[in-house]
Amino acid sequence: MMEWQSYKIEEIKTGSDESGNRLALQFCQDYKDLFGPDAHCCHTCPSFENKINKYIQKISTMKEVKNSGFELKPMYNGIQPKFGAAPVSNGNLTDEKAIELINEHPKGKDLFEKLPDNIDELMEGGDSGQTFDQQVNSLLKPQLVQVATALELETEGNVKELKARIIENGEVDLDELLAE
Amino acid sequence: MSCTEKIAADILRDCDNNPPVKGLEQNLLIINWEDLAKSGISLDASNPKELIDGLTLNSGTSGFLFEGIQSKQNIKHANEFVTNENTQNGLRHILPELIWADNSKAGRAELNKMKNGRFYIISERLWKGADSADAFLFYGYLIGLEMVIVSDESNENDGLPVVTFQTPEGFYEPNVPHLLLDTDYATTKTAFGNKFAQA
Repeated sequence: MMEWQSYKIEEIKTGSDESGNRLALQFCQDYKDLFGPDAHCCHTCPSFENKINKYIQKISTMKEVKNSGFELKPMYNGIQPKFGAAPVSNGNLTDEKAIELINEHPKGKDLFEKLPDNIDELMEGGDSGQTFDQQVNSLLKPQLVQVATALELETEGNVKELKARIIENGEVDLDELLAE
Repeated sequence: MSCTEKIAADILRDCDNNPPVKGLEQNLLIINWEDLAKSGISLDASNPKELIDGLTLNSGTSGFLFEGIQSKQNIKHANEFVTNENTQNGLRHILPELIWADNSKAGRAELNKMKNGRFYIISERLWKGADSADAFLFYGYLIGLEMVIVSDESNENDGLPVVTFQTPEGFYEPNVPHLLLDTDYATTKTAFGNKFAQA
């Protein structure tokens, strides 16, 4: 993301970078990163100036983002942790939101391009009081297959089906099964 | 497995909860054939002929948006049944007479590139099914689609070219287009909006 607050509005509207790329188009990309992929950003519309002001205002009021190294895959940038929740993008990703995504979204860690080295430590911190369903939802497909195999469940199917099958089977000690 | 199959369920109407609706959302996603290996297409284990449950494009690639106008309903599909005298029957996947919206130098450059290319295409139906799980369609799983320029007339369609994407001449897909559902509708919609881009 570029530091748009250091640019003049006119510069963003009409300027180009050293490679000749229009700043307005790059701004719209960052705008969608911050407000979600469905956010409207028309650089030729009269409202474009308002978008710039809105973006700069949002950035300046945002608390310092603590992101230990989480990065969403480009195709999942702007994903919702669950129905009705605010979209999470690389522009507003924090450790807290990343862990919420891993726990709440059926794809869990599969949503991420990069995870921090201390992911286990962070998850453990966020795990306090984690339900069995949430623990299952945070597993990757190979781990799900391992658990399903240990429980003698059907191992075919997608991640969602595997998770549903394991949850339906009832609560077990996942750490113990994964350690085998 | 036999090439002839028996049907195994009733075909019923649900006019109360899930009535049929015609038409497509007026955005297509076009993916270069070379950018999506077969290994990047995850077929649902229970319904491999009907459902794709995940797409992973090659590293550093992305699909491309083909934009229409929502109120015009110009973007549509019109798949055709293909009968074969000596082999199995199939379908020709067809997205006919689409208005090529960008007539600039850049747009026409892409048009030129597409003349000899092969593609997968994804659409979103206006009818989305229960939990919107049946919204997205994936065309050309086995053979891909090729583009044909139907017309490029200065006094028609505001001077915009008209193109058709279809299963290549002489080929056919064995089945109707796959549904595409990556986990759920919201996740698939996010991935579609991000053009299934890979870092």
